[in-house]
Amino acid sequence: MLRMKHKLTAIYLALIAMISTFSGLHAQNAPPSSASKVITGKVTDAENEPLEGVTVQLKGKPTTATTNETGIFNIAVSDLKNAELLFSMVGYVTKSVKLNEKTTVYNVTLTSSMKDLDDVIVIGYGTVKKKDLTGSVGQVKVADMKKAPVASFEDALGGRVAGVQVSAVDGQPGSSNLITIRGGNSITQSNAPLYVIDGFPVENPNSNTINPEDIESIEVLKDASATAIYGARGANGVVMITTKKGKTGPPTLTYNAWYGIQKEIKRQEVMSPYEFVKYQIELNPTQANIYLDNGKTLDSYKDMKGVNWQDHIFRTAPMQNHSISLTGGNDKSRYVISGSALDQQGIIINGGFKRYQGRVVLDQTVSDRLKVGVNVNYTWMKTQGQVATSGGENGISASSYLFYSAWGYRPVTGDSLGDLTFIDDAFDPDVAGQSDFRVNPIISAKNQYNVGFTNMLVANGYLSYKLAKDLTLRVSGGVTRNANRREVFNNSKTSGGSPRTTYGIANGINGSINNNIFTSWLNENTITYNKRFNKNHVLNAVGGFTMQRIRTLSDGFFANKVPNEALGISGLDEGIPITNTSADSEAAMVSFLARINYTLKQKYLFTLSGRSDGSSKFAPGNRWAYFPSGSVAWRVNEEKFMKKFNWISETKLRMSYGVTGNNRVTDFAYLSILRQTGFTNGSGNTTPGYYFNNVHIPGSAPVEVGNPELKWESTAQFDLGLDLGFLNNRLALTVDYYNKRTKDLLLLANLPASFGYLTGFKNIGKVSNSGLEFTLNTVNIDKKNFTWTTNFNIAFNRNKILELNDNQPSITTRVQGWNDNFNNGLPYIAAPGMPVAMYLGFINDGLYQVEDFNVLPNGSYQLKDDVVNNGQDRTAIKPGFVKYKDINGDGVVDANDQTIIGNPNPKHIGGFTNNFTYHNFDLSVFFQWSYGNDVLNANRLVFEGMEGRPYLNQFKTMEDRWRPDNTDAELPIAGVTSPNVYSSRVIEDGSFLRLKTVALGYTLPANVLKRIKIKSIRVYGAAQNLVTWTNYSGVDPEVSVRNSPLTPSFDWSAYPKARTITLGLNVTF
Amino acid sequence: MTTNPATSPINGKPVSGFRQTITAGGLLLTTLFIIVLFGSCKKFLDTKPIDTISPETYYKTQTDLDRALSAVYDRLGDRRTYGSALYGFLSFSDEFYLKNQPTGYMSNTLDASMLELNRCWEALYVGIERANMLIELVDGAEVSQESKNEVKGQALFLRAFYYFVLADNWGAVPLKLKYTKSPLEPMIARTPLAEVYAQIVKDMKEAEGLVKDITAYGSNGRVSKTAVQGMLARVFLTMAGEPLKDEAKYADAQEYAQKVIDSKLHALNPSFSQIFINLSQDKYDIKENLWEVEYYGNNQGVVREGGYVGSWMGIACSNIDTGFGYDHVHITAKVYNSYEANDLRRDWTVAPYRFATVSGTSPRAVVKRTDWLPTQIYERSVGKYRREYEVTALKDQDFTNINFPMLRYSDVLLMYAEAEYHALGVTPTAIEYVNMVRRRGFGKPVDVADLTVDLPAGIAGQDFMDAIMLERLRELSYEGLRKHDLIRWGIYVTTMQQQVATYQSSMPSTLSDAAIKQAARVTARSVLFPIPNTEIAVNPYVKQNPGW
Repeated sequence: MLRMKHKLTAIYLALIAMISTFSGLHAQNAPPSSASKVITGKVTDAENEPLEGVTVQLKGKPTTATTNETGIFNIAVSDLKNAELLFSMVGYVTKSVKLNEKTTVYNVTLTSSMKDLDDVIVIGYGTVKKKDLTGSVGQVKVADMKKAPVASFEDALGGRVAGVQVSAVDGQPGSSNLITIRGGNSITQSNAPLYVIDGFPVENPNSNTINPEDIESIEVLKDASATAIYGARGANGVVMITTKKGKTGPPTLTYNAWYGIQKEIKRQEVMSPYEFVKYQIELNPTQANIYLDNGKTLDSYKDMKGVNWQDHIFRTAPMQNHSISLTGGNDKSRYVISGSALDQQGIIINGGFKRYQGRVVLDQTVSDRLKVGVNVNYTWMKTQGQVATSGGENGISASSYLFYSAWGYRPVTGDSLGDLTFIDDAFDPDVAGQSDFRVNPIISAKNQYNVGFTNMLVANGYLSYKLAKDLTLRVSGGVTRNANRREVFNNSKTSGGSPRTTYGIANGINGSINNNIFTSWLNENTITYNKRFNKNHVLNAVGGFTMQRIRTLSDGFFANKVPNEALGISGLDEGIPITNTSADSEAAMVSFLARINYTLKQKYLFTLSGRSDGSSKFAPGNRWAYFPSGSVAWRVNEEKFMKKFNWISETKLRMSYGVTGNNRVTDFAYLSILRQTGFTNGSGNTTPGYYFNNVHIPGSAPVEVGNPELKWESTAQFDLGLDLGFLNNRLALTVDYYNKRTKDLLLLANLPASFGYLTGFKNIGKVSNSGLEFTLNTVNIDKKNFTWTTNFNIAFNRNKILELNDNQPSITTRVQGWNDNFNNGLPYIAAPGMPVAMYLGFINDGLYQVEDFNVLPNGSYQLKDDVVNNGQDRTAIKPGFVKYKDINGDGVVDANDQTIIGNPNPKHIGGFTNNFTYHNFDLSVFFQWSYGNDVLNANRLVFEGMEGRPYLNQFKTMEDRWRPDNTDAELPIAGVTSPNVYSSRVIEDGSFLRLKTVALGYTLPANVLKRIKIKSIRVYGAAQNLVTWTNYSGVDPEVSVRNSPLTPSFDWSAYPKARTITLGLNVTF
Repeated sequence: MTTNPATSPINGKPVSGFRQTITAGGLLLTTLFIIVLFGSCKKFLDTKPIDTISPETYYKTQTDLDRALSAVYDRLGDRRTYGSALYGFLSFSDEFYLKNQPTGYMSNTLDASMLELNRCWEALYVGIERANMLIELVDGAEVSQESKNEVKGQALFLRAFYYFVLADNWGAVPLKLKYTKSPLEPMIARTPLAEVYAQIVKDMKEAEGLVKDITAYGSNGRVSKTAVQGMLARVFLTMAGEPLKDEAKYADAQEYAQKVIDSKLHALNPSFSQIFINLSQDKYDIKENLWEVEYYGNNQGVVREGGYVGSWMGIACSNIDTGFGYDHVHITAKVYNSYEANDLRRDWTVAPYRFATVSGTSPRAVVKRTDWLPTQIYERSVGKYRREYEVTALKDQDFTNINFPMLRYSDVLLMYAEAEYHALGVTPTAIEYVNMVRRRGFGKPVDVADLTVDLPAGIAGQDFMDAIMLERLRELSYEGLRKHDLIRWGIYVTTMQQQVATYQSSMPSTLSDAAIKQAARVTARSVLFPIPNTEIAVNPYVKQNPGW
């Protein structure tokens, strides 16, 4: 039937063509005057499909006609001379056609007035027009993102797409960001999305290896319909990155350069010399005598400047980048050759990040059928400097961290002679080593040699062969080689090599070299069938087969007692080799994938997609899994009844459901493993062997218990979306509701210790995430010389654990290694009915006041019987100590009085961008926020008195401590050392609104440039992290130094983020 | 308005049949390609671990077995077992206090979340898992039956020993006798204490028949027949006391102590101090010591098998080369005063001197051996394990090569006496064995009766038991036994409460604060540790001990 109609249409068309040709001929002979003519023709859209219902009007006359279902119109025109036909239809740009007297057939193509609906969106294994999209895909406005330069695109991604949460661990140059799309599914495994870079899936990318300027587009696939084609790796969402390809045209040379200066956003205020000495006197009057000798009094310190250590370790650091790219091509060959060099110095001395990167992309059309191309990217990177969030070799003590010294190093020694050299002495003369590893932060930062090198090569190639008009075979292959090397050298002036620290004593000068090489190859073969049967039936189908193999190699060694310190890292071979590592592992994956897009009558869209993945990470019986999805969309606007609402330019309802997976487990999690080396159980006894009769016999010990029944984690996601456009899409709104349920959670579950293993992979537990996302794009003003556009997005996500393994009531988690005094504390809890991580601890209940005590005859204080203790012995409690709430009311504060004290999950996150152009000026202003999330500010546990470590400076806030004359203080009396617990006092609101980017550019007028033969020049100034509005008392609320799904938003010795001001230049020749 | 040249403007179909052929051919080729690939998928996905070994392929050769067994022994040396915790900060008694430790893990502050306690439990169960795997898979090894027996005997003993430590400290514990095949295995509830002990006895008895005599090794790091027998005596004695109170086991304890004595393989070293000097010097005295935990080297190098004996619990010294000793473990006047005049053990067990810092800073301070004043009692450190005698060329601050004595012959003799006293009453043999230990303590020949040091001839009843109890304190303090002796005698809590009073009344006030707190934390619940979080938070079938 369909075919019949098709044929009839064709015959009819042919007839018309013949008639019109004939009449045309005839007309040539006829007098060109007033004779009435029937003008006919066909109106089609950009795809050559007939348009029905187009109004055809003779300009200035009431005569109109309408195209029929085949796009054909007939209109009688009385006078052809100077006549003009207007073709108009909602959603299309009105076109006028001048008639001449020679022809009566006018075939017209109308272009869509909502150009963005025709934007091509990159999806898995293909592209689709925005209007035909059935899934939820967020498009990053790359142009906006690039307005202010950054080292890595991830630094600019936050707030750009609804539902994509990007948060930084801290501000360390070269450190990576944490990206979570629509909430975390996994409790113990990675929640990072899959990256697909130019079609190649990369599970653990280093976004720093990509030059942001090479990026053409970024799409974020969010719902199951969009991600199911990535099957087992799609559950955390997919970030599609497409890099620039060669463009047809004469060679274009582009040079982009920017230079910026960075400065820390905020400093932690510490006590002045006067305040410090006053505190020391209260803390320990005897010990404080050193500040009061030679006739000095406390008041002597009032005018003393002392050493402000932060002045010395922070610097205003330059940052610059130069990129050059050459692109061009003809209709057969296109190419891009580009390179870039980035040098970012850290805002802390002796640190920084460098990147050199080069890229070649070639696309060649060999014949009508065959196209080939290659894309090769090579990146070299170096990061250098003390890692603020790592305690290094002495890492179990708080004192081994950078900011412990930077904040805590005292401003004065009390010894006027000592003060002169204090700044140059590697150690505080009064601080005994052993358990306090504080090192002069300047000396330490200067001597720290901790360098990471990355060499990354990505080479991809493809071959695309048109098997038939509608059928294309694409074979692609690629290799990735990511080689990382870390060199650490601890000389005698660093905490790790100093003869004053436990580690330094045991190891002397020491260092290590570790190499980590990740190689992967991938082959993908797809066949695409693209068929437009007619206006009513469009079919696009993709089927494919892929294979991937990943190998991870690592090796390295650690040596101590290095005799020649001056040789540095190259002198390690003279030391005593302590640990040698050599590891090798392999994983393979085979997949079949398919997708069918079917469009009915341009308004009903259907997508079915799925992938079947086989992974070597599971036991033979469980290797294969199937991840299907389906979605429908209804372009309501295409319905006749919508025609009268011509101010509504787009209405699309989308609905999708599907299942995707997560296979982020170790390569052989299904096997039990025996090992002979590499034990780190914190007991010093790191080898599983034993001496018998003074002869060593190495041990082989089972270290991991395999789960032969392990299988894929799967996430079922439902998405309901609405796309609305008004006034030719000058106002476009997208709303999505989603509900994800993750089951068979790949959980590195805690096992009862009686199993002989503390953890093992299990498929148990359920998590749900549901939420709402809104994106609003508006064109507020669109004048020739002034435009203003706005993007606003906001996302709400609710994360909840539905079930844990074996009815386990909760998972409580320590934050180990930041401070050994807090090793017993369990500040995080994950329990069914709550989000994956919540803060657990005591509720701060103010301070004990004198009224809480009976005064004994000897003058000492004894806690009244009806006043509860705070976890300490009652006898130890004195006025000014911290109180905690006795939640269960049993009269004793103990571990049972802990409760939920905070929630690190934001209520909503979002971004707000405004772009303006005025003549040749452009301005972009971008805000980002996070609301309702808490942060655990562990810095305050150390720097607000609670540990009472000697000679340690404190935060300025510690001024408000309990004294007999300051009893309504915030903080306890000097010298309170316990109990060492996490309490509501250090849980702070981490909400923030950040003026993240402001960029102002000026494009030189084209007529000026023409003379100097330059295509375009744009100069700009940009600022990053300009202002942050927050109640958070720490340096920056966007922090998560121990980031894992179970331990988010923990702030301890974080590298502050920088405020960056850049000046840049883009030149195109 | 453009038309594709490959299609007809009339019907949009390909005009050429040729192209269709190609399509079909291409499809066919592709299909074939996929089929071939699919065929190889299975193989492609079948990656094998290249860096690790799995239980299924191991446990075949003698080397495999030796290494697996070595790993079972390994857990004895963890810091949270016999590295320091089980004779130190997890074994508080009236024999020591920890200086200046009012809070923290060294202050007897326990709860289910205490990291060290968790790690101790974990280390013991890791040892059990290693033993379970070896015991289960040893039969498949391609070695002689004799070799299998020897390995299996030791593994059985060690598993039983780890369970003994668990039962002694935590009471009823989950008894797991098969290695873990999968994390999905059902979790195990606490097995009644009597059953745990029954298994310990069964395994040790089986081990007794499999392991070799100590003379076959010439050293005592490996478990030998008499070590098994002696340990069985300790197990029976523990079963006979609190909390199990299976008094019939006194006879078994006596029987097994008897076996050791009858083997004639063991004897008391004439010099009490030499026993410990030998430990420092990595020399093996297989007559005195039935079993030791072996430590070696200074933990500098690829192999790290040093321990904390002598550094964590040793003579205070802030110089590494002399032999660094933390100023943690201090003796109590109770131990010091328990010795009679001329008992040579006192000034070895309690160090009469320390290495006082003359100048410089720790850990390379210039130090001088300085005697304590007679009035300075609580200031003294434990002197049994002395780093001056350490043989390691380059000493480490923390790690020593000093072995830890797990079972000494004097203990066997005293256990015999105690068991026999309970089973039969005061017998001449029992008295003689106690006297042997005493004579050696005074530097006298052990086999020659000596009225100046022997127990009064007519000693009887509770007096004899009191004498044994006191002798155990003098002979065996700082060997990880005191707390457990007090518990099985049912007097741990009362003793520690008395100790609080003693500290309050007679200890220098500068030292007493921490000591009082540590001792005062022993209450009725303290006879058992709390079940650590690492078990109880995950395993719903395990219930907490009373009071925790």
